[in-house]
Amino acid sequence: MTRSGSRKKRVQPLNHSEFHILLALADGERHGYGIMQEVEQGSGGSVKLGPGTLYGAIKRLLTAGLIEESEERPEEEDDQRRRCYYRLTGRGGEVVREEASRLAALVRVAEAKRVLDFKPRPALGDVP
Amino acid sequence: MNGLSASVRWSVKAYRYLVQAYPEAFRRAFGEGMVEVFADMATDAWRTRGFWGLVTTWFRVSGDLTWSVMSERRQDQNGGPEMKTAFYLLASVALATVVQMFVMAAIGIVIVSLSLISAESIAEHPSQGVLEWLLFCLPPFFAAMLLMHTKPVYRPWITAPLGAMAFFSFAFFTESKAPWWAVLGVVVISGLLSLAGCFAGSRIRWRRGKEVGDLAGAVE
Repeated sequence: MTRSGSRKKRVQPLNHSEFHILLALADGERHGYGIMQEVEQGSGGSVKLGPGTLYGAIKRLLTAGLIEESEERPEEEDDQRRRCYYRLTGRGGEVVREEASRLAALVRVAEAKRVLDFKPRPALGDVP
Repeated sequence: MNGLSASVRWSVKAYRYLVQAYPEAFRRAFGEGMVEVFADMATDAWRTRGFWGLVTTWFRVSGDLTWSVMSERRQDQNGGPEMKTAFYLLASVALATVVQMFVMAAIGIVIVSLSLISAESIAEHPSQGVLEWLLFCLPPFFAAMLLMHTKPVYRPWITAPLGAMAFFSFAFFTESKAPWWAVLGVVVISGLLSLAGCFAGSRIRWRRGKEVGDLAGAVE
């Protein structure tokens, strides 16, 4: 397999939680709990990550070079704990944009086919 | 405030202990971060919903812990030798004691149980409902807590009902179309290991009794 081929293959298969984490980091760097809260809010409460799932995904994203640790701390950080902050890399930004575009294209297809307001047709013999 | 800090502090201590179940490399890289996140979760839950908030946090975290430990261990090719106490407890309790209960119970219970954990029921149960969460979350946590404070000879007996629950949680945990032979294989292996645990416990107890008897005879 070519280098570009393997790189593309590694970047493409983002799972659900990884994509949510990238989205959470799209507008700024965050620490672990911040990511968790942002994911929960952004998904309307439907995605709730636990610490293990969160850091498992962070490990994979770090390995893939999509996020990186940040040494800087935001000014509003007032506690004394040395939390680790994460931010998107340039490549991570590209990947999240590509994935979002892909999903948006799918939504457009769904809208064109009127899937979103789909109502099942009554079967033959059913009384309307 | 003292109540808050004590409850949260003890929860964080327990979680820090359970984090040892992860592979060493993962733990070194992310263990502290996970404990920090848990501490934040527990503090927020306590402040907003009190004790019940802390309990629900533990439910959520226990399921996540079980799932992610297994996932990380599976990814970690050299995870076997470094298996620490906590993971040993989680894994052995979760998989090694279910048939002990089956042996003690009637054959009818076995039939009903096997029908309940058929491949279809596994595939159809996402771990979302309250019952699923209870089945999924309670065994590892309570087993670890109980076993830490129990004499070794009694551990196999205490783990029996927990093991049964753990097996159901394992079934839900897979959330995939697990073939019937895999489920049956887990049951059989669990039963053998469980019986071995019972035998070992009885053996220790018999030896201790014999030693006490010998000692009493020597004194007389």
